[in-house]
Amino acid sequence: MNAIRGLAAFATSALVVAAISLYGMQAARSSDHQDSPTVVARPGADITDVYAYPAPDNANNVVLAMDVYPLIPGGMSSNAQYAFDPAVLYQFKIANGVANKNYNESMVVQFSVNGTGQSQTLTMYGPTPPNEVSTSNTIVTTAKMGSVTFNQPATLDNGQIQVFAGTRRDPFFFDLAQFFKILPDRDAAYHAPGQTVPSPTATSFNGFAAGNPNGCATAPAADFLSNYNVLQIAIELPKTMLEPTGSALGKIGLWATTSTTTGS
Amino acid sequence: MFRTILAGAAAGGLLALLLSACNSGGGNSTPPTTQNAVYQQIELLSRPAVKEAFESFGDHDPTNRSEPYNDSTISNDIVSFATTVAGRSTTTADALQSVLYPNEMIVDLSSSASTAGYLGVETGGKVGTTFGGRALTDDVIDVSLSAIFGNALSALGVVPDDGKESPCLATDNLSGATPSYLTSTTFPYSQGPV
Repeated sequence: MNAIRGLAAFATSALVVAAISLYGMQAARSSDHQDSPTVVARPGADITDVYAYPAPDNANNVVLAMDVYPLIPGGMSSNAQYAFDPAVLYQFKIANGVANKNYNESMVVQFSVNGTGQSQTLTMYGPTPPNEVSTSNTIVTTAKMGSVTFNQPATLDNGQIQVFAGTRRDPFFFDLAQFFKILPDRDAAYHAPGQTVPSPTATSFNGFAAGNPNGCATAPAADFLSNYNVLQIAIELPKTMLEPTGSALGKIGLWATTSTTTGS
Repeated sequence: MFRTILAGAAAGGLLALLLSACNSGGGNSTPPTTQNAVYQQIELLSRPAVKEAFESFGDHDPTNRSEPYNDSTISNDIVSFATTVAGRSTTTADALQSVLYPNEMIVDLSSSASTAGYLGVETGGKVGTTFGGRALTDDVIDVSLSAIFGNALSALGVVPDDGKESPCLATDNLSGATPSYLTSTTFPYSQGPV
């Protein structure tokens, strides 16, 4: 359940349409944004999940992935609107000092977006030390690695790096609808203008066995995300590239960010 | 939140202020990505479920604009949600905080494990794998719910059992092993769109 799913006005594709409409309204009156959560208005910057795992095909490699743009309905992923946001800088941030309790970012991988729609390209920079240890960042232009076209996996750096940016089935699974009944505050729809957060209507997840001793709910549990897609940026690269030059492999802290020049 | 933004501006320095002024003068609502621009963080995600479970909706934005190691909002919310909403002991709440803050997913690149396993490093291998990180199939929701509402921490010997479990909230009864659509054999290893 990622944190952002709560911000993402979830629930139905109709809400996604509503969010897109809201974005359009905001673009038209950009100074009036006080009650509209930033990432609901900009779904291309809305990170839904982050993954990090050993590459299945090469023990020396690691895969990093971030998913954005929640709730792209099944059957609609080729729609031109479901593309990365050219106003957004996408970043993986890595702290190499966590074994010594230094959690500051010391390496970054950055992606800038060129063009709109599904013919766009993304340019990858890094892995490289960042220009700034900050939530305020510039692109490390000296670390330009290469480009990838939407939905077309590419290899960079003489074949050492694989990169993908495009549509994927959302691999996240969660009974989100039931969660919102238990904790309605987390549903962004209730934070839209004119809405109020209702009282909880459930105190249990579903799917428990009939006659369970705790009286938990026995209706079928349902994966809310099973018919939705996301946009994914994934890289596979040698583990050594995530450490500073000459450093041994060790523990890293990982997070993903999205940023805009306007902060909105 | 203002403090965070101001801190970010200070770190960005004069260049940030100058560029910001230039951008605002351009008048475009969605400026193109340019290489010398200064970008302000509007969203952060690391471990799944932490923001959504522990933070009230209104606290998401400050966390989204913070460094994951300089975020008193999420650090405090982990303890306050665990003790008030979830009704856990202070000891259990503090244990959750110590595992989940700083808000960074830990990956051990030196591990020879062939698969990831969520929270594996943070818990010293008591859950997940020694690689840590997060696999596409990891049931991160049940890992989280069982720690927040169930007896996962006491079962691992991390804390004494506080006797304050909420078993109906400790799993959503969905498993990553069940759907066949989570992975594929070729890069990027996730499935194509439905």
